[in-house]
Amino acid sequence: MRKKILFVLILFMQGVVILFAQNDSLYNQTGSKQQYEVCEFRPVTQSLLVGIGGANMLDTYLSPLDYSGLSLALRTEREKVSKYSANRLNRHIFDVLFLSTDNVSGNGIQVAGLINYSYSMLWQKELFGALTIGGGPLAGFDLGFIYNMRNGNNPASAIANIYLGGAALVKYRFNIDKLTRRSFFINLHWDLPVVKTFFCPNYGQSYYEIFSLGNTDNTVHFGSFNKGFDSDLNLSVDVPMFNGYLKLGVYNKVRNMEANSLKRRIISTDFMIGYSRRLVLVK
Amino acid sequence: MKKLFIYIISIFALCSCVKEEQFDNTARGNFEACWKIINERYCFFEYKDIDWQDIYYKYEQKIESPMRADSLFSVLNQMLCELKDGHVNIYSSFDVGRYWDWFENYPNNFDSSIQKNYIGTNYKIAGGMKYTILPDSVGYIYYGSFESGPSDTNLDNIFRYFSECKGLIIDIRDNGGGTLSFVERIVGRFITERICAGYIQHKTGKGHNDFSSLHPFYFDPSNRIKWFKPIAVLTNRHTYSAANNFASVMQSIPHAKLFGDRTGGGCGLPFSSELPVGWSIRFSASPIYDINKNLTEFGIDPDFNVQMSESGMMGGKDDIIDAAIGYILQQ
Repeated sequence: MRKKILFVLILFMQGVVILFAQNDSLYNQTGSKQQYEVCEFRPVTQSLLVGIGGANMLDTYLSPLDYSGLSLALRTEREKVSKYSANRLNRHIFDVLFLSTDNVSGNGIQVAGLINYSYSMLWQKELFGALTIGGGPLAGFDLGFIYNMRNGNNPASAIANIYLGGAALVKYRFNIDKLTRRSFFINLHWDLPVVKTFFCPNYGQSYYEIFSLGNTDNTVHFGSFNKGFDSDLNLSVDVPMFNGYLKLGVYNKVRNMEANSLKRRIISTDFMIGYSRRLVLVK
Repeated sequence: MKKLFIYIISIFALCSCVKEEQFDNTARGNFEACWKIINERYCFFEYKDIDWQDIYYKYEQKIESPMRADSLFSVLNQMLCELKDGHVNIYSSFDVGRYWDWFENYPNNFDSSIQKNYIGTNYKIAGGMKYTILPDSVGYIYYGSFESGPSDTNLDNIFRYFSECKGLIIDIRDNGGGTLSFVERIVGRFITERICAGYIQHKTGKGHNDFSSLHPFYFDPSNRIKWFKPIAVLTNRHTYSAANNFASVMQSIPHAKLFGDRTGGGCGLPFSSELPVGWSIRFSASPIYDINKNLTEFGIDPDFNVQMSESGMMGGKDDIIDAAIGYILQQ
């Protein structure tokens, strides 16, 4: 029964990924070094993952208490070799997180929703044949909310954050079938926002004052690690399956904010499963 | 599995994430947390001349270990009552701690059974307002809570109904407040041009005197049916918070007068927080000033101070409504 469910799930994900994929694909990527060196052939990797895990939150605008609980995640990734260089990868990531957490005494609920989009350009280099490392600039934004179900005039906290930073990847390829040249991969991605501009109300300021009365002074901030450390760290394994790859991973997202004597922290760690399809575009 | 999640999360949490001091869920921890939240976030220490540090020393002696939950609740409530603020509460699953002296120590000046002698049982209801036409063609609205408010269509219908009336009584006695945006919606029917309705301020940090500058806020006239005949607003000591704010703004409108007793006050916009035990606390966080930049935390004096007399009440008379009718008929 479990095998059937897994099979249906994989088929479903494969279908969704194909829908997301561009129509001008011609070949399946086979893991060979040769394809990455030919600029006319532009491999595209499209992935769709879902995940479940744990979350920890703090937002002192709403409560001084730590909240912890459940995290649900949906993630799409799209990596495409640049038309300017076979060694450059353009990477788009779109994440949706939903967090449902409880306070320490278990009688308060705080939920959060977070949408994150990031774009990075990664220059990659193969080392020792199987190892690929890469790095480059990153840009992205977060939009979301935290809602505390017991509060009156301060029930929610808005999240709006635009950032620039750096991205890095380490990928290791294991050839498991020399005939078909199918491989499986271990991937480590780290996105590190370095500078950011974000929204934060003043210490005792109500959203009524900001949005109904229009007093927005000192609600937009600019900073770097001094305003809170952010990170997206993902470790995944791509296992060949059908025409694509079964993707299994641990994805960790950290968002911190410190301004106007207020603090916010969101940490989620999700165990992800998904399906990835590698395609080659030809111009 | 859950432990594994927590373990992984903890590893990342230790990497330079922001942290806030967490108190133990003990009597001492909850007392410290309660005192600290108020110390950092309450907005009227200076205005009320309260030495919060002294209050800490006074009440921390009453904290025992171990301590029953109801005893701890009682001590915390007593400490919070030192703030003399109707917007300060502590909520547990077994009780709501409150300070209600601002109306309980004064005459009611409102009796719904006597009010019935004026409005009967055939009054209309729209948008949380009971309304009817009193004898001598005086319109009467009873608005008991700003928690529910009239829509623009509700107000159009009400003012259309009152179109032949000589004046209007808006009775906000026993109105404990609610949503401030309803104040603007109603006041917009009584003004011809944009008015400054007051000033708002917020705390900018944890210090007792860390405040922003005063930010003026304005009400715009409605572009729907408006009312420019005489208005009498009826208040008592239980006219509080958003209702107090409504009374404050109406007092600045030339064709409106306040009748009754001093309002209860409550000019701080309340915020909520919580203690490790899971009890919620509410407190004034953001002061709202009247158009003269005065705080109305302890109430507003009416233009005509009228009290309900014993003899009047015995005879089923509401002296405040009678005074308001008399004023409107004289105009």
